[in-house]
Amino acid sequence: MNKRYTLPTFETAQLPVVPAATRKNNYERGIAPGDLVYITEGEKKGTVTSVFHYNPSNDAVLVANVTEKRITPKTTWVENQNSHYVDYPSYLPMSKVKLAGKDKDDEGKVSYVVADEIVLKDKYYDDRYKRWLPKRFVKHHSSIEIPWPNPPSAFEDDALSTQEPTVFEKTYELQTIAKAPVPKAALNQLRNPYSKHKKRVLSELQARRLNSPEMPLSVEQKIYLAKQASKPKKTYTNLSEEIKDFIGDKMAQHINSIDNPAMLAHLEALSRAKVPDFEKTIQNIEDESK
Amino acid sequence: MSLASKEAFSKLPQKLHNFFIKFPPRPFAEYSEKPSTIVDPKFNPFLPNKNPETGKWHGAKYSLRRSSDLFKMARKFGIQDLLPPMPKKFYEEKYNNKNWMRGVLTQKKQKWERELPEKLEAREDAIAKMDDIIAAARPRYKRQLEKKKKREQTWF
Repeated sequence: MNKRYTLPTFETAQLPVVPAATRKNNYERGIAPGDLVYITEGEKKGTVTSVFHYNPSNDAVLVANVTEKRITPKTTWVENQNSHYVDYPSYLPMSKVKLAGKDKDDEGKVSYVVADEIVLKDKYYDDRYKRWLPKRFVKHHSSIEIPWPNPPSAFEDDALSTQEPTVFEKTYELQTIAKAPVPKAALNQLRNPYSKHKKRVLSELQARRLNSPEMPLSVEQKIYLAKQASKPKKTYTNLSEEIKDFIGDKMAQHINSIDNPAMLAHLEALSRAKVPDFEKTIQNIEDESK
Repeated sequence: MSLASKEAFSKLPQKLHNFFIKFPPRPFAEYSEKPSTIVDPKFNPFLPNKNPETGKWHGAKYSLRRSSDLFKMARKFGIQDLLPPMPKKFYEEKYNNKNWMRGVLTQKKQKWERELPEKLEAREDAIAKMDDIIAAARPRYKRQLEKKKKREQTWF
């Protein structure tokens, strides 16, 4: 049903909610309060008005001259209101508006450029907004830029405001561990050099507390240790000449049958390899012979 | 160039020399082929041996890895037979004594492939004995056969 014929109610028309993950703020969306927009649908179709506010949760804008008749409860009345029935600004979804740019030619004739779609690119620092903003271009017309409007409430200094250079003046320096906060000479006055905690020697009680006692051996352990001690020490004897000759014969027979020089070199390298355990064994034999 | 036995012995790697000091080579010492006890003078250092006092098993003195190292090194010098018997086999011996999987030795194939030779044989057999089979089923066929024999042409 057409809205014109419905009775005014307290209820407001609910715009669809944009999911939080896909929500964009007004700078990401490319719209700011003070922008001109061209209305493409509804009662005010074909008019150019200015934006008051962008609502990211509904992806909608409040624009000048787009209102609806609403009954307002008395608790929400503003100053000088004397009727329940008022014109109330209504949100327009972004799909029903298009961003417009104002252009003045040399003769002072005003014309508007309406962007079907806009493209955001090339960030620059905007001193009016005190932040980095993307540039807005008409899509497929990279020469037509729609500049951001002046912010509606530019801050103005008054008698009580702090000046900018005063804000940036550095009056405090961060303390670091590179510089001791207390001079070295004053340390002895702050600390007790004769503190008992600074003694390097432990008392007997402290030492006993710090070291675990030695576990006494069980009877079985004592028996085992005595048995081990009574066993004769393992000794080795050098290979007898007979065995040496036997091994040597076998090896000579095998090595003499090898023609490959690479294999001979490999065997040479193997025979030169040192083994620590062999040295221990030889030491054992020498000790025994003494 | 031929080596004398003394020279050759000087080329024995320390690893093997060390082992032979602890466990003399085979003909001079005997080693059991099977696990025995740690008090047994013939105990094999490459096999686990039992402590008869406690009844517990001691692991092999030389692990499979160390014993393999010894064997392979000894084989390079042609003295692998002097080591105590090994629980592990190597090279040709290992390959020849391999327990092959049944599927590797004989392929299973599909059922028709397995039955094909029998089937062909039966077919050949049936073709060879065709006349007898028909005669058994249809006694008059014998006369037809006789006629056929009469009509048969020979080269003479």
